[in-house]
Amino acid sequence: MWLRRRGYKKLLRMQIRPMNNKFLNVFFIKITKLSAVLLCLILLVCAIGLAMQYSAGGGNFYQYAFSYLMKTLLGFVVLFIVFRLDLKIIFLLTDYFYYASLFLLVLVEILGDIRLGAQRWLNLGVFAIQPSEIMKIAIILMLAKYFHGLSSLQTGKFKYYLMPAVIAIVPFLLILKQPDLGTAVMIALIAISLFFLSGFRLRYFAAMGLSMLIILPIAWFNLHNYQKERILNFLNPDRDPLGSGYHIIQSKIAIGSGEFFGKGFLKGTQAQLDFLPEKHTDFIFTLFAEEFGFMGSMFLIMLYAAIIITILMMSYRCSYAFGRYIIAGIGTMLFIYVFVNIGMVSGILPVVGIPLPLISYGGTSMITLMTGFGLILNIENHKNYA
Amino acid sequence: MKNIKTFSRRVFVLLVLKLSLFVVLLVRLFQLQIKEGLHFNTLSDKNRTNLVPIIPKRGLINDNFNIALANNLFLWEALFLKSQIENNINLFINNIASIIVITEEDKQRILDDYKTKPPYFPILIKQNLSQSEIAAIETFSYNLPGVFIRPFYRRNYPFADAFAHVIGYTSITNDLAKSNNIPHWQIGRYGLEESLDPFLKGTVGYSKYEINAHGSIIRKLDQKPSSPGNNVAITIDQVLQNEIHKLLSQYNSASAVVSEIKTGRILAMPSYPSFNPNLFTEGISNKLWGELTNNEKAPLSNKALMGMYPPGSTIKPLMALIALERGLITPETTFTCKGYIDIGKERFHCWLHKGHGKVDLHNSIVQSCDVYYYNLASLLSLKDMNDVAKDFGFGAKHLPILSSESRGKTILSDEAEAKFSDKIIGVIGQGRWLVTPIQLNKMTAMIANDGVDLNYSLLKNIEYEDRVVYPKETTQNRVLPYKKEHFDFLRKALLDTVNARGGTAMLAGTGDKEWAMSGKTGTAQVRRISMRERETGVLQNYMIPWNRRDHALFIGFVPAHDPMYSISVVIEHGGSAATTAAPLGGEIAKLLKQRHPLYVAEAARIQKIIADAN
Repeated sequence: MWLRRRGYKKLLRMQIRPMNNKFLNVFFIKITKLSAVLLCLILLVCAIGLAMQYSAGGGNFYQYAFSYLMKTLLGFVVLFIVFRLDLKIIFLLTDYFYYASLFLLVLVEILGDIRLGAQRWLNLGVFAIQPSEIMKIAIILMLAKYFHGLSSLQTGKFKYYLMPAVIAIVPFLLILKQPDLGTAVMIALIAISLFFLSGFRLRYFAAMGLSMLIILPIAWFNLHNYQKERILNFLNPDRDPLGSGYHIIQSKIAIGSGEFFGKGFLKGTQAQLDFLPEKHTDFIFTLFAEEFGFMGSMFLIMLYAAIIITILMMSYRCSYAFGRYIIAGIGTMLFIYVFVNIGMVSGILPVVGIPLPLISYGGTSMITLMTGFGLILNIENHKNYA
Repeated sequence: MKNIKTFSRRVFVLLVLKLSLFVVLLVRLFQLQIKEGLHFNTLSDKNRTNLVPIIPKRGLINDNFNIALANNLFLWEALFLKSQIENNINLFINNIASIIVITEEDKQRILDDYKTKPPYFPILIKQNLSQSEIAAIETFSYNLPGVFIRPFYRRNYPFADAFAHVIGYTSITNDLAKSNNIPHWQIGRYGLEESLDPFLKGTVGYSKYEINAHGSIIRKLDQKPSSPGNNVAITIDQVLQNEIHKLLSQYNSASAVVSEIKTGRILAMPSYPSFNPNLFTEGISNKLWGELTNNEKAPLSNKALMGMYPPGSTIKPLMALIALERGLITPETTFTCKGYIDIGKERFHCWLHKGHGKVDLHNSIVQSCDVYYYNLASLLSLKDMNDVAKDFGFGAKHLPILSSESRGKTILSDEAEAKFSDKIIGVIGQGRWLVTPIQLNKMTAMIANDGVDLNYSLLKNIEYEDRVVYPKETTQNRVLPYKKEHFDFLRKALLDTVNARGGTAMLAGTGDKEWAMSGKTGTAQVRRISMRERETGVLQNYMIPWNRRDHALFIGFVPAHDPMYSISVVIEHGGSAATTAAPLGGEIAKLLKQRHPLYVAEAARIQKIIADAN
């Protein structure tokens, strides 16, 4: 394919420069200072996650915390593997990875398990995977590779954005049909942010926004009833205080009742007395905000902000487009996770089932994020390809 | 290098966008946690605490001799917590049904409740458990997670129908029960249960628990005991009321009022047909409710207070009295009765076809001669007739303690202007009048008591924790400014109406000189008798449908020489009063004679208590 050939030639021109003294030596592996900062921040968030899982289990380590710890460790193993992969191989395999993800998405459409009313899981016998999670990474890689291949003259021209639009829209539609509104929107936002970074003209964005306004009413009629319910209940939770509005009302009570200092570790009455649904997964921020108050929430959001700033700095410093886009894409993904999750539990966004990164209990998002961080650290360590 | 420049610029734009969105989150959290923090904290406290109400025992309603007319049954009920049902609800119901008997209706209700009620709301399985069912549930409790039994009080009316209109009934408060989760909190809906509700209901206590979202109790935080309602006693005599109710049940629809003339206390006030108030405490079915409301004999209305009838001849003593008072006639004034009288173009008939001949005032009452009163009508003004009726309590309510009493109508209380013909038929108690049995009773009592107007009372006492409070001494409204000799004349005439040969109320006689009855019958026309019917012969009551027959009324007091008890009886569509209402009045008088010594003794006992207390 023309796309692969052109990009590959560019990559072949790159050469690995010798490592300079800016690198730290951690466990005999050399990493940059910024990588070390990022790793420390990740570890800090994971520590908070462990504490919150312990609290969600009502002070019982084996309820959620142990399993969370295992998943996190597995996540770090994945991170390490991705970190050690050769970037050239990743570059070469990106297309196959994307098409394989697409294939899995189609497969899940045909044979997927239905869990919680949505067709998202592919049962592989031993364990179940969610192709839409893999797709998040795949689409970042695929778009990064495409934009990597664009020359200065080509960027900003409309016709060169038709291909990446197809790359993004096909999985978007497949995921929307599962239906998984949260992930679909996330993929769309990631794609849009990468378009934006590549120099996509602002007037095209304006045109897109306008066409969205037209499509919105049509989309509304194609939403599943439970999604419509969620949106309506988001707009007015008191519509159904004991049904689907229950989550968000209880969640707001929990967050609000934390006040400034919080009720204290393990002392959140809303969570400990089971008023909070899914308090260990999507709604874990509620538990955190209840027990640590505004002070704690502010700290956690700043922690995430620090991670995002670090990631964007890395992206800024990377010397080649492929790396820059990947890092920026993953940073955006992390941001969307955090913003949508906290937004939905605090009642400013509809409940779409997006976990809080690195803190929520759940293996898939953990693996996705760790893969992403692995990629970032990998690129950071080889930022001087050129 | 244009690429990299754009990228670098836009990366920072993106970063600024992201950070500003984080600021949005912080603002939102500030709003929730700082600005509205206190509010949410309250909500969270409300969430985690559950007030379990402790329902007080409702006060008893006793009769004059401390026999309970309304009491409380101690029953057990089985419930379950929705959140504790792990598997299929149908399986659970089948499980329960294998242990205790559950009807199909109950099963459906449990299913409905399971679907609609909030998770912490205990759902009723069955009320009124038998001993063996309680034992069965206790035995198999290991197999029934979330099922528990608890006791409750249910209002019970031992005499059912006979007292339904006086005592009324209670029902479970639906609104309260839903919002505050207070089961079995009974509110008086009718009769004394309604008007004495503030005394009877007591105050609800509560236990405050910390609960989790599944409604399981974590620990007890606080407790406030309930305090039971006050017992009240009423002036009604249970035996008398029951006996009269039995007598009334011979007829299709009837009511009676018996009161003490010297005190104004109501002794009995039955209304037949009645209904079983116990049905209401359990929650009446739509079918039964429909049957009660669509019944043409109106079992739900208290006819003693609400039933309105033309007074018929029972109003004649008042007409005679006002004519005497105004000096229009003397007792010696006579008129001749030919069986009819022509006034203007119209002919008015006496009830006795052949006529009474020469009639004086005394005989006009004893024989109830209509023609005498037609003559009186031309002497009396409408205002005179209206005034005397008002003086004797018509057109007014007498028992404010019971709601829904009718005011009735006097001859001038209609908006429309009264015509001369209204006066003519009004003087014999037909036409525009509408009176209630209790008003008739009041009139009788006032005639018997020289025009002394006493307030009627139904409440005997209220028991508080440490004392019993009696209402004030019988309150005297006023004494009518009528001459005593006129009252004496009326009483003599009423005595003869029952006891003299040819009196219209002879069948009301008690056959006992010491306990002689004085009284008057009244037959109130429901339909107009046409000229044509006159010619062919007036149809007898048994020939026409029940609901078009005449009402039969009787008023009277015993004993004649020293009036103590006033009686009024109305038999709806009973036909001729002389043969239906009058004998019924006589039976009531006989009952009163039996009960009289007891009343005297009880009154003396109460007198002594009050005197001692003072």
